[in-house]
Amino acid sequence: MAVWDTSVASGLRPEGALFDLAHAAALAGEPIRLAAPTVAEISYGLGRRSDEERFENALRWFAEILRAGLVEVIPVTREAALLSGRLRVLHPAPPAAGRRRSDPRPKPERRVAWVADIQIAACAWLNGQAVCTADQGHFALLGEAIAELFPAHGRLEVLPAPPSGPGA
Amino acid sequence: MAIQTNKRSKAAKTARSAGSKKTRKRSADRRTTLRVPGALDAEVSRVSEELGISGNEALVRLAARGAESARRERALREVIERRHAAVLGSASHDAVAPFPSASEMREAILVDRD
Repeated sequence: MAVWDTSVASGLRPEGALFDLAHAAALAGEPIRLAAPTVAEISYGLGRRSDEERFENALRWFAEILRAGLVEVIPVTREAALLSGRLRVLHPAPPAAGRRRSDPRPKPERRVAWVADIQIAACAWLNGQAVCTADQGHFALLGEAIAELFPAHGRLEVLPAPPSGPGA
Repeated sequence: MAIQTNKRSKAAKTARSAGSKKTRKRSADRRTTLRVPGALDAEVSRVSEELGISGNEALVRLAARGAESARRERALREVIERRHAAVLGSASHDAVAPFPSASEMREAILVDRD
């Protein structure tokens, strides 16, 4: 089963189709995987608005599904950290191509998200998993960078978001 | 439930009883007797009924699926190990080559911080 990046995992909701997909995968013994940086992004994104009860509740629900093992979290290991640094040397900033003009985030936040994408790609590739993402451009570029660094060890497979997911 | 796998066919039994060993078709497959745990036996029976095949055939099909799954897991584990080893590398640093100065190193590493 693939690693869902943050663009996909951000669509997880109790009544959503993505949740059904994750639930079915877990029951089949092949749970969906999230890289630790995705967990951090979701926790940050919901936590920073936790003064509103809805967001606080969503964050509690997310913690619950992690606790229940509905999704498996891939840690950033020493290898993932090393690889992430090397990838960032090759691509210090997110690619400008494909960037939405409506993206309201300031440059520093886009950079933080880019570093998270790098770590997600590293975690997925090191674990022999594909990345399932709505952001094909970012991960295709990172896949090329990994292939450039380790040409003898296979490519990072990039899959589109599930049909019911964001950006699909 | 104990299942004797690869049971002899009726023809083979007949051939043997007739003493015509030359005509008996010998299978290269290994024969074995297994003690099948209850939980697995229930699944064997279900598959056997669903597909209209013998318990022996159902057990072999399930074992084949398990073997394929184990093969995939082993292959994935090998990929993971190779990739981890490639990233970590095995070369040691050059003990006589110069290092950047302490302040150069700090500046390089703390580039993201205020």
